[in-house]
Amino acid sequence: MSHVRTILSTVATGIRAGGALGSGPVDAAATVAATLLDGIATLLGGNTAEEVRQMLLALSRDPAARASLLGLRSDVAEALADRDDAPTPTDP
Amino acid sequence: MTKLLALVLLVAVALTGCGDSALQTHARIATSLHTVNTTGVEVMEVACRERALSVASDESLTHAEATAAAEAVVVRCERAAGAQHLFADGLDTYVDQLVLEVSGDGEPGFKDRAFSLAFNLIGMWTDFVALMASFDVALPALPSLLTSLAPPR
Repeated sequence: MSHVRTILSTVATGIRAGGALGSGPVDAAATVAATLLDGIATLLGGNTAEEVRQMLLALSRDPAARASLLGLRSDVAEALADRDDAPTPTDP
Repeated sequence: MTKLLALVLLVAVALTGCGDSALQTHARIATSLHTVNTTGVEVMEVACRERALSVASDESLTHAEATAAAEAVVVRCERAAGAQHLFADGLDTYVDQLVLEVSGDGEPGFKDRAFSLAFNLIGMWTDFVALMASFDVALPALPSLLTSLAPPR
């Protein structure tokens, strides 16, 4: 649903921007189309400036995950040591 | 249709600079990037571990072959992790800058940079997905609407 809302808002903004470049009937038609799409997007629930701010603050409090391969090399070494054909450790 | 929508999005963001509407678009792009990254990291970590341990314990290989094959997997995963860390650093910077912007403390000129920063991050994630796909690991892809925006690389 949010994808639909985003697309509608975006298309409305694009049409409005395009309409602003035209004149007369083109401009009017663009305005009507953009208003209609905006209306549908609003019905679906758009984001207010405060909601956008909260969305960004929430993202900033949750730093992007970093892949961790911690322990992978030692686990691999262990798996290799557990093999039937693993070299026998030599006595010192 | 996707390309048309992408073009509309491109025009919309470019014309609105970093006003409320553009910030909303940036917030949604950042959220999408954050979501695919969180899932992608989990998938990558599990896949790397499974591949490396599977090869290391493959009894159809000699010990030397298994050692070399497992090392190759680990090295490949470490390189991929390095690329992913760069993406994560960039995403954090993007989000931090957007927070400053929405708080009215944005750096001068960020309005222009935000657009290219978003595109670069989309391109980086697309490259990362392709890198892992060459390793037969399927990471979550961004919506095609966003990937259509990424500059050719």
